Formats: sequence, structure tokens, C-alpha cells
Amino acid sequence: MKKVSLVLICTLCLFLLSGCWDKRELEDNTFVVLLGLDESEDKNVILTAAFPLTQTEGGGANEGVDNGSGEYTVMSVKAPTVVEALNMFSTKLSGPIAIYTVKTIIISRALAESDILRHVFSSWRYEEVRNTTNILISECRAAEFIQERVKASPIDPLRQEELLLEQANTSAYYKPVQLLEFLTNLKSDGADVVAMYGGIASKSEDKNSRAPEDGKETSGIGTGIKETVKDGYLPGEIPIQAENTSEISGLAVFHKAKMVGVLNSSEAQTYSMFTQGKLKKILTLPDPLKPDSDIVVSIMPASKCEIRSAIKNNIPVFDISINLVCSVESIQSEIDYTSPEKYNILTEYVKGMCTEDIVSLIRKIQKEYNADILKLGDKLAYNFRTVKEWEDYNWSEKYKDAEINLTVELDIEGTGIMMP
Amino acid sequence: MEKLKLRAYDGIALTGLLMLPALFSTELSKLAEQNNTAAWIALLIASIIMLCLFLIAACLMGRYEGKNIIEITSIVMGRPFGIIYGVALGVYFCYFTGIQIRESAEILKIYGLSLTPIYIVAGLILLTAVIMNFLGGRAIVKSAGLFYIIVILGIVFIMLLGLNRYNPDNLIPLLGNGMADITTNSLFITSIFDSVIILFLFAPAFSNTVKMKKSGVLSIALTAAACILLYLCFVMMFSPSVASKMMSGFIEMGKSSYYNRFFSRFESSLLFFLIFSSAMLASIGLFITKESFACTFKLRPSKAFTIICVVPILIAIIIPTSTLDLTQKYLPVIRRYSVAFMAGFPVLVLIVSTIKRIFKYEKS
Repeated sequence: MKKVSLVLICTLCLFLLSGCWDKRELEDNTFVVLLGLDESEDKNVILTAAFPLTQTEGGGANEGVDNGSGEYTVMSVKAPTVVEALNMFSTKLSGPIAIYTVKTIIISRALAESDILRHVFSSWRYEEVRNTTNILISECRAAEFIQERVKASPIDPLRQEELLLEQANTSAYYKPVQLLEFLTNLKSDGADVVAMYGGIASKSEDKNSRAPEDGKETSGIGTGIKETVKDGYLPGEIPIQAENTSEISGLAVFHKAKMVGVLNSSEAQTYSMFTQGKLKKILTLPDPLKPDSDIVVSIMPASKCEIRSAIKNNIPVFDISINLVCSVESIQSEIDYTSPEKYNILTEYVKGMCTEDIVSLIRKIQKEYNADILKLGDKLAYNFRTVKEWEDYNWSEKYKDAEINLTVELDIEGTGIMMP
Repeated sequence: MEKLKLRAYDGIALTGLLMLPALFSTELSKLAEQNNTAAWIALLIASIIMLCLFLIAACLMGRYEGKNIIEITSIVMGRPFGIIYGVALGVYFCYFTGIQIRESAEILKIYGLSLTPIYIVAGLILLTAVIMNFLGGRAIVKSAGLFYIIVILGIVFIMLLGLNRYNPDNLIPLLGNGMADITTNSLFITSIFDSVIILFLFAPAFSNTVKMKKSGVLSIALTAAACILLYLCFVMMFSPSVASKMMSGFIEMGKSSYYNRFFSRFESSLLFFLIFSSAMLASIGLFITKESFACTFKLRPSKAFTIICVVPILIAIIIPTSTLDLTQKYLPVIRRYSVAFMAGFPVLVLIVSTIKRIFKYEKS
């Protein structure tokens, strides 16, 4: 036993090694919370970082100049690559910059639509980049978006980011996508990827009294006009009046490593029905028996959606089956929907609405964006025995013409805390 | 040669600790690169081939109960061949230990000790091995029994960590690059399991050959199960195209595990398993080197002899000039081609022994 203990002590001594060369004192480091990527006109990268103000020494950097607010500050630097830009921050900071604490990497839409791989994928090799960091595409410049987010929570943006990402588990207005999933799918032959989509709302505009857009039934909170969010919102469109003008709503859609379009908040919620388990989509619908009143339902996937694939006449055919459960949250008309006939009317009505949403989402991503974010290609690959056969089939060319058959099953299971 | 008494479990632990550390380093990525989605099938075939080779070669040990492989070679093929084989085995294990220590040190440097000089990391692992060898074979066997469980727990731990990220679609198409490719590669990767042959060196330490056979078979089975399951988890987490580019699949799995903000980031804890396994591998490797030379030249192992054996291992550690050099040139020798020597030679001795027996029978 003595000998084994001695061996254990010898082995454990190896762990003390890190104290000799690799020690990093906590207070000497500058821990970045948010990291932003923009592309300059001369094709360089503009890297923006948000970190505690106490770590900075003086004003700004090469570009973008320090815009400290409260305890945290934002700094931008221009360089040929992300790693070099990180290194250049040291000219303004008292300690080495540490990016393994970054919660979210924000990439501007302009960069996402052009050359995202060159900057993001190439930086993956860098030891401090963490696979669990989230990716957000910002409609505006990433630097502006970060400044707004830091202003919104100057004391603790780190906590704000963490809570924000957890929020997505309940509302599904956006879906956090981590770097690992993002980059894996960006390079994949069988699937495409989405990322959170954010932007800044115009401060001067009173969004609550904004006039409805053409063909969209919408209006402001408290203006007395009927409101519906069924059509969804993109960042900057949400009728919320708040000091914090940064908004995350919807998803950026990628195909072949380039951003090809966006899904609004409602489409993002519909998308979550394919991919996630416990998310609620709240729908405000006209009452089927009294259209001037509303009925509010929340819809959740009952189980993981089932996708079956086959190849018929060289055309990929998919049978997608989605099981949903619905809970009635509010009935303005107070009609009793518990009788079998009315229950069936309501079930069929909500099911029809959901089917319509799902069909419209599938049509948009398939025909308009040609992006396989439902990962149908991964399911189709089951029909092939070898990688070569699968690559020769050239799925990305066939996706647009794929036949997708949808079956939606819906049960009304809950009636809130009151009998209907 | 040091007198040891080994149980079946001791044999499993000793050989397991020589084979399993490959999983903590670059081997998972190499498997993904060469075999795509079908590496697990190649591993399964490779383990079956190794099992057959081991059982065939074990017939030789059954014929010469109480003798080790070097002594048997001397009896069957003559003393010069015995010396050549003993020296070759010792030199191979110097190389095997040195290269594996270097690989572990490189991984530790990349993931945890980026500023520490590589030779300090490798040197300390080797120092642990020297101290353990000073304590003797019994201490190594006892420690192996303990650390084998720790290493197995480490593998189970990492497989459980990634549960929420596994995507079985990443394993499709099932046959990867095709059956021909799987068959060819499985022959090469048999080398991953060839360390089980060292049981022939310790054959006299087992109460009988059946126990040694049992130990070898179970060791191959457990190692194969660990390799296949860990590879499946690795590819389900990353997809083969991304997995093939990673330095250490094992550490990357920990780095990517995420349940929520309170339960994530495990790579530091995984470095423990890497250190434990490499220290044990170095100790067992040095012990085998020492025993091979001692048995060949009929020497009694001493502390001075241990130090002499350390020198060639140290040389093997410093030969590779870079990580690229290590992975491209030196690692394939112990992970792809060594089976020809490790399993091939005992089978050759068995064939010679059988031919000799037939001639003897015909003469009489």
C-alpha cells in the first residue's frame, strides 16, 4: 500500500507543473464577454470585444475607439485575422486578453453573407476558442450591437448573456447555436445551419404607435387596435418600448457557408417544433366560432419529429410526422369547447393553423433559401451504403426538388387552470 | 528477470494500460481520417484478427509451460535468435514508450501547459516511471490494477458527458469508404491491440497458460469495446470530417460537453486521466524494456540497469522534431505496422516449432 501511495504522489506531482510556466493570475487577465466580427472595406477583420473597464489603460484602439459605459467597456481593432487582432488588443490592455470566457460571438450580416468561413473557421484552431460559445448574426455592425448590449447591462453583461441564452428554452423566438454545431454544419454535405439573429431598433421611432405594414395585421400595445404576432418579428420590428434597443429575434439561415436569409420570430418558433422538445409557441387566433374574439393557445411538440426518407425515381421523398400538444390559455368568447363536436372543431382549427405555418416554413427554406436546416440530408444518407455513393448523389443539387409529405397530429391536452 | 505472480486481472490491467492511452491522444482522429464513419467496424475486425493471432500464438506457450517467449525462441530457433528477438522486443518497447510519452506530452502542452517546455513534461512522466520501477514489479502490477479502473472510469465519464450532443446520423453512411477500405485498414489498426503479446513475456508469472489466455482474451475484448464505444461517441458528437482534424478527440469531447452554464467545461479534469494513463504506460513500458533485456542476457534487474534502460527511451522522446513529425512518421510505426513484429514473430516461432515436431516425429 505504501508503494502505491508513493506512486500516486509521484503522479500527482505532475499536476503542479502548471504553476511553473503556465500560471495565469486571474486579476492580470482581461476576460472578454462578447466578441464581434465585422469586415472592413479593405477585407480586414474588425474585432470588437467587451470586457471589464478596470482592465483597460486609456482610450480606444485602432478603430472604433473605446466607448466605456459603466463597469464594462467595448473596444475594436482592425487586423488581417482574428488571432492577430486579439494580440493587438494588448497594446491597450494591462493584462493578456482571454477569450475562453466569451459567451457569444457576434458576426455582422454583411460578413455572414460574404466570407464567414475565412475568419471564423480559420480561428477554430486557436486554443482559447471554445466550442460552447454561441453564434449570433447581427443585422447591423457587430461593434454597434455589442455597444448596445453592454449599455443595456453595464454592470454584468456576462450574466445578462447567460440568462438571455436560457430564455430561448422557453420562448423559442431564437435558438442558441453553439460554435461546434455551427461550424460542423457549415462544412457539412448533408445539412445547413441556423444562428441567432439580432439587431438594433431605432430609438427615435415610437414603435408602439407604428402603423401596420401592408398585408400585416399589427399595431401597437395599448393603442386600441387589434394585435397579432402570428406573422412574427425581426429585430427592430418588435413593438417594445425600452431603453435597451438591442433585440434578438429570429434566425439567420445559412447554406453552403453563406447566410442566405432570415426567419422571423414566428418562423423560428415553428422551426423549433422540428428540433427541440419543450418549447412553447403562443398563438393568438380568431375564435373559430366567434371570429371577433380571440383564443390563445400554446403549442408544444409532443415528441421528436419523425422523418422517413426514400428515393423514388431518383427524387428524394420525405415523410415528416410532427406530433403537437396544445394548451388553451385564454378564450375571450367563453365558449365551452369541451363538448366532442366543439373540441374537434377547435382541434382541427389549431391543427390547420399549425400545418399552414409549417408548410410555409418548409416552402421558404426549401424553395426560397435552398437551405436544408431541417437536416433532411442526414436522414436521406441512410439510403446509401458508402460515403462515395452519398457524395455522388449530390444532395445539395437535389434538395430543391425533394418531395416533402407532412403529417401533423395535434391534441388539445390542457385548458389552463380553468375549465373551458 | 523479476519473479512476479500475476492473476488474470493483473494481466488485463497491464496490457490494457498499454493499449488504452492511444484513445486519449491522436488515435481517435486518425481513425476518423482513415476510416470515416466505418472506423468502428474496422476496429471490430481488427480486434477479432488480434484475438485470433493471440490464440494461435498462445498455442506455442501451451507447448512450453513455464517458459517465456524469449526462452521459447531460444529453445525452438537457437540461442542467437533468442537474443535477437529479446533485444528487438526491448528496443521496440523503448521506442513504444518514448513515442507514447512524447505524444502525451504534446497533448498536455497543447491543452494545458502551453508555455511549459515539452521536455520538462515528458521528463517528469519518465521520472515517475523511473521511481515506479525502483519500487519494483509488484508495485507496478498493484498500481496498474488501480489505475486501470481509473482509466476505464475516465472513458465512461467522457462518454456520459456528451450524451446530450450525440447525433447518430453522423455514423451514416454505415460502410464509410467501402468494405475494401475497411478490410485493408482493419489489418493495419490491429497494431493498436498488439501489446497484449507482452503477456507471453510474463507467461511464467501466471499459474498456468489457461489463465494467461483468459487474461489476453479479456484484455483484447475490453480494449476493443472501449475503443469502439469511444469512437462511436466521438463521431456522433463531431461528424467524421470535423473529428479527423482534432488533435485529441478525448479532450475535445470534454471541451465541447455542455449541459448548462453550471455544468460544462470539463477538459481540465480530463487531463487527469491523460496524466495517469501516460505515467502508467511509461512505467509499464520501462518495466517491459528492462525485463526483455534482463531475460535475454540473464541479468538481475537493478536500479542502475533501470537508469541504463531510460537512456534509449529518452532518445525516442527527443527524436521527433515536431508534432507533425511525431504523428506522420513515428506514431504509425507503433499504431499501424508493429503487429507484424509483435504478433508475427511468435506465430513464426510456432510454425518453426510445429515443423520441427513433425520432422522429429517422422525421424522417430
